[in-house]
Amino acid sequence: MSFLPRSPSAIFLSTVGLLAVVAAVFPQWLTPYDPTGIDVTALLAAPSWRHPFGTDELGADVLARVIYGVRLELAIALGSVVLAGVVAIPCGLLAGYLGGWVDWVLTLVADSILSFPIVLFAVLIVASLGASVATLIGVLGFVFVPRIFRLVRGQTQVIRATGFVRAARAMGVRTPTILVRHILPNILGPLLVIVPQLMAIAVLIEAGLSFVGLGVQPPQISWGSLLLVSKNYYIAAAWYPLAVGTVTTLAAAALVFGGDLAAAAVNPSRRRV
Amino acid sequence: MSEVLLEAEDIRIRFAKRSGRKNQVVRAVDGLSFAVDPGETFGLVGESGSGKSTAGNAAIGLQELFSGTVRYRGEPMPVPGSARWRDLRRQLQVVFQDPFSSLNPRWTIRQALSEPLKLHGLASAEERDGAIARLLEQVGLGAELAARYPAALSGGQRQRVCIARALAVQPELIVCDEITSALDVSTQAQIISLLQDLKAQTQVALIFISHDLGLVRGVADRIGVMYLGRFVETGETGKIFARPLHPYTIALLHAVPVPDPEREAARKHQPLHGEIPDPADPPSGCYFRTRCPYATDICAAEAPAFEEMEDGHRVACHHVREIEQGVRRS
Repeated sequence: MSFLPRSPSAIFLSTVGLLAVVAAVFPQWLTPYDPTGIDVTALLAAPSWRHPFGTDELGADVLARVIYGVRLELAIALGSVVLAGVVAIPCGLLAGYLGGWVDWVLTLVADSILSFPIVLFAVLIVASLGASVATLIGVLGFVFVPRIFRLVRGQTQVIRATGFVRAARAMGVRTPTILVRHILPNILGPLLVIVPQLMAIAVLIEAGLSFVGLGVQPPQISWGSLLLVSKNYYIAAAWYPLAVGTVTTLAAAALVFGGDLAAAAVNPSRRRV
Repeated sequence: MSEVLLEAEDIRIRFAKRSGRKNQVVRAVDGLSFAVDPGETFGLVGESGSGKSTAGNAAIGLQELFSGTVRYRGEPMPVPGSARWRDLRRQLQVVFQDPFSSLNPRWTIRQALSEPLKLHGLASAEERDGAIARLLEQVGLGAELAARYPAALSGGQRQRVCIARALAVQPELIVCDEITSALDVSTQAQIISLLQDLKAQTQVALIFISHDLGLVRGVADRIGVMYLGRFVETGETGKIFARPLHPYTIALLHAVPVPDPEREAARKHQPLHGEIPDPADPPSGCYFRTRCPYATDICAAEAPAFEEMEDGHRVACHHVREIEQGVRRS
């Protein structure tokens, strides 16, 4: 059972991750409240034992709304990273391994995307396609492609020069097999670091874009759409935007630290028989 | 005389190199010819940057040539990636310098040794474990190591696994590219004695690349001494060690310590000064003249011919006659 987390921070972060998955799939297990339930007797109620994050302008429990927001948050973060990975990993492997004009063309495309401001790009796309979760995933996925591509390309260049890849070539192993069986497994570590980092960026950009009305639209619940609504009450009920913002920030931080720990755990130099 | 196994004829290999704004051409290998007979060990010797590894890779078709030909059993080396080239992978193998990066860290030794067996259909799934155990035994390792990952092995053990992986396809020639330079001295000796045993058992030919003449002496039947991509001296190991004729070979031999303190102290040293010149900008005439104690005007003016002194012993030096007489006098 060597894959089980052992250090306290690893155990803590694994628990947080597990909670996030539960919140996404079975949010009703984590809160007794209906995130859309109206309670006119408790409008914008301050945090209490009954409502740890207080209630919103319709009396719904803010914690419940944050929990129900995890589903969309995870879908956007995972969806955009997977989408980017599907495109960027094969391209990065080919560019790094083959070099030459393949590398030149792919790198040029990636650098062009990278030089484009994310928010400006998002505004353009949303303006032409309309604000929706799908558009958001598409925009984020597109923006993440060069980031994953550059990492995979660089790592591939390093591993291509190692003895075991040269030995496989000398043995007559075909290029696709070398890429999939020798190179890809050896760049999983750096990929595992960047994936949660990108997911953290996805969470933050989702919050930002939804906050300015370009992402998830209320009444759909995401942390960004909650922020958008909560900002109207930042004087009367400061805990409301504060609670949502803090959760968003902590989630992003947890993702980044989790990635570092995961990378250390898959490092093969720690593996013995 | 038996059929020649591998023959390189006037091979040249160039690399493009950018330094600042200038595009330079590095002549890594600059007109090299040699032949390896079946079962023979050919030692390629030279400093770092002399082009010996590049030449070794080219010999087995892993390095594109600028000009010249490599023939294996009389047939020109096929284009890399072609079906014929792929077939040749069973005959021509290589072991690299760094045992720490030569094994996939995510694969067990069993997986590493299975790859060539599966790829070339050399052992069925049932026979494979037996074949792996035999390979490990052949290189002096226990079969229980098969379940381990490379991280659990020492450098010497890993290099033995790399040799076993090369042997798995029962090749006719293995290029050993500085295979001992990353190892301890005691482990180096073990690897050399392993190679000697393997030569006797399997009749495999070796191209043994090293900068350490002492090690080459232990395995090679013939030696080619390289300097800046060219041979300066080739010949049978015994003859070269008994009577080195090129000033570079003489200097290299002086750098090999004698395992006897009194004789070592009594030896006259002729150390090499300076660095090997930049292969993108080699000296005119004889490449070695900038470091050569015998250099005169003619050395700068023209490149020396590669003269055959006696059977198979060739030297490229304008002053070889003087050196020969000097050597005889002492």
